[in-house]
Amino acid sequence: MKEKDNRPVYLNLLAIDLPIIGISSILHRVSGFALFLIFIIAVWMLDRSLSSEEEFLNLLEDLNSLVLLKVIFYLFLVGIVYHSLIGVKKIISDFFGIGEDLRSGSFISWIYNVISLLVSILLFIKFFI
Amino acid sequence: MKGIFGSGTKDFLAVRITALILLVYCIYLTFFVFHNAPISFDVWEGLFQNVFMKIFTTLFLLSFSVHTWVGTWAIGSDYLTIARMGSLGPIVNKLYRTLCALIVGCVTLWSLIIIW
Repeated sequence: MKEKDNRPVYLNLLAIDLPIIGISSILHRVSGFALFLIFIIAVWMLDRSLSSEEEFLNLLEDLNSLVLLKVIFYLFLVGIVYHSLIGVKKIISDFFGIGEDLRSGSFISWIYNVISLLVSILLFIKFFI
Repeated sequence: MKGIFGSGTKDFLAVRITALILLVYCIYLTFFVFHNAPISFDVWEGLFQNVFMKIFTTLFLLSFSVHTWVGTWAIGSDYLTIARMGSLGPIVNKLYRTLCALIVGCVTLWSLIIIW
């Protein structure tokens, strides 16, 4: 690492033909950080839901009527699904060496992305339609 | 780079072991909610009154704090650096880590108080 090299440091992600594995990896990171932040709201909801029956029902009502809260909760669930699935993919490749090369890795990434998308659509229908 | 637990291997294992605990908890909670849908207050409160669930939730929260502490470190050490931000990098990173520590600490403590 000592020797000077001329490899580019500032990579323009839009100019690179990033494989699905790379896109998933970035989304995994973005979803992880988003979950970290949304978790604060999740704890707030847990607090309300357990404080009394009245608060529990109020929270359910809020989740139905407050669009912003609904969207945040939706993103929270979608984030968990995505982060978990790509996380499982990474653990499987880390510990069992499955999906480490470009072909199988891309294939597995596609499967998990499609599953996430389907679950997200299902949740969207359940939440907003 | 020494990471959080002194070596990359330990960080690697910490993230993955806590990830599995988080995953099992999420699957269990999802299953519980679906199984009891539409969920009532009594069932929901009963779940968290159960001492095993309290221990499981505590384990989840401790895993959450370790997982996010290492995860947010990885993000900061990638982007908030001298290479990307110049001399501002270390300062911004320090601020960012303080904010992360505050969030992880408060959220974990708060949720533990709720549970117990």
